[in-house]
Amino acid sequence: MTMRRSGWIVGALAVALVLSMIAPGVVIVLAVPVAVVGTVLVRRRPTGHQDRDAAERLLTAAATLTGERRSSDGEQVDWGAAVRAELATITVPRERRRFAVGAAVALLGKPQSRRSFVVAAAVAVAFGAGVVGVSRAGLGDDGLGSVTMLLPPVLLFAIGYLCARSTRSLRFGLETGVLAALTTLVAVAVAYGIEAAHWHHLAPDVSVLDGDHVDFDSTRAAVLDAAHPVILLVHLVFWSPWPLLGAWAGRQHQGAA
Amino acid sequence: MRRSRKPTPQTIAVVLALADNPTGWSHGYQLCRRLGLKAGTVYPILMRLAERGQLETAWETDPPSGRPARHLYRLSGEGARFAAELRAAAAASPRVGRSGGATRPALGAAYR
Repeated sequence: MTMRRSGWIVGALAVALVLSMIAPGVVIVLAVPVAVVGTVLVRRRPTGHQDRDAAERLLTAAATLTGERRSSDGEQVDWGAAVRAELATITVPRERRRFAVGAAVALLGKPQSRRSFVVAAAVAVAFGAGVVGVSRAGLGDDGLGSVTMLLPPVLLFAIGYLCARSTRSLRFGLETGVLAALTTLVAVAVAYGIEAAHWHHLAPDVSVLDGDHVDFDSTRAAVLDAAHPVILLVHLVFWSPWPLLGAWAGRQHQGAA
Repeated sequence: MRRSRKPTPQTIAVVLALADNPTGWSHGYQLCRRLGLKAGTVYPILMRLAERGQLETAWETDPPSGRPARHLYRLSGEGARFAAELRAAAAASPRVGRSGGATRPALGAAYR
């Protein structure tokens, strides 16, 4: 183990220790997926590649993020392998760096934002409507917090997984999963706003978040309590690892198939 | 597949460079050097041509020991027809014979 790697590990442990004192829940939510991914990556790394330079690392990372492309005859073309093989023939360091940067740009290409946004918007609308439906059906007597906190991780994992698996692209899974998390957060904020006002009208001293008794002066206070930025941030932190983990799992599953 | 947009000068340069060697195989870095273009320009063009069926691709069968097999490219029949169209258009338009908006001498040479 090099001094540099040891430094990173010691630094990461120190940050984790500090975070665990401040917010242990956050550490658990973030640490478990990171530990799983990190362990698998370390185990999968072939030996004898310690002399890889920055150019090769860049192209390997870009190739990992992108899937194979299909040519007009239906054949899958592994462009990542193509540019890495080309890089292996270039010996001048400066030229290697230039080629690697250009090839990485070519591999990553334009984001598939339109498809990702359609999926993310559909998920957000469906989830927001579902939250309102649960509330209006009287199923959320204990508040909607458990629904909005615990269901989206499953949903976002599934989206990341399916998108990465169906397109053989880790990048598409990540883009769609992360975008879905953000749009779902907006939908949750809107649903909380609507339902906090509704609940305040029916029972002015009940919090829509957890069903506890809280004295709200006005409907506005009830809405701001439910859709508070800190509440939304906690949601986002809790959700954020799952689309990433889903996309990674989808890509791994596709790679193994 | 029908092309929806007018090809860029860089696309024309790559297609005509491949058309200069219709039966032989070229590789990506060779095209970059020959045309004076960056990999970030040449590879997206190769990807699009392959997706449209205008490019045949293959892996090198007997690479030297110590390096992986290269990915090789040449125009398909449809690609050759596309190149012929581009040559005809270049011959018909006096502007295209010059730099055609391209700034690199090597790119201009590919039109001729």
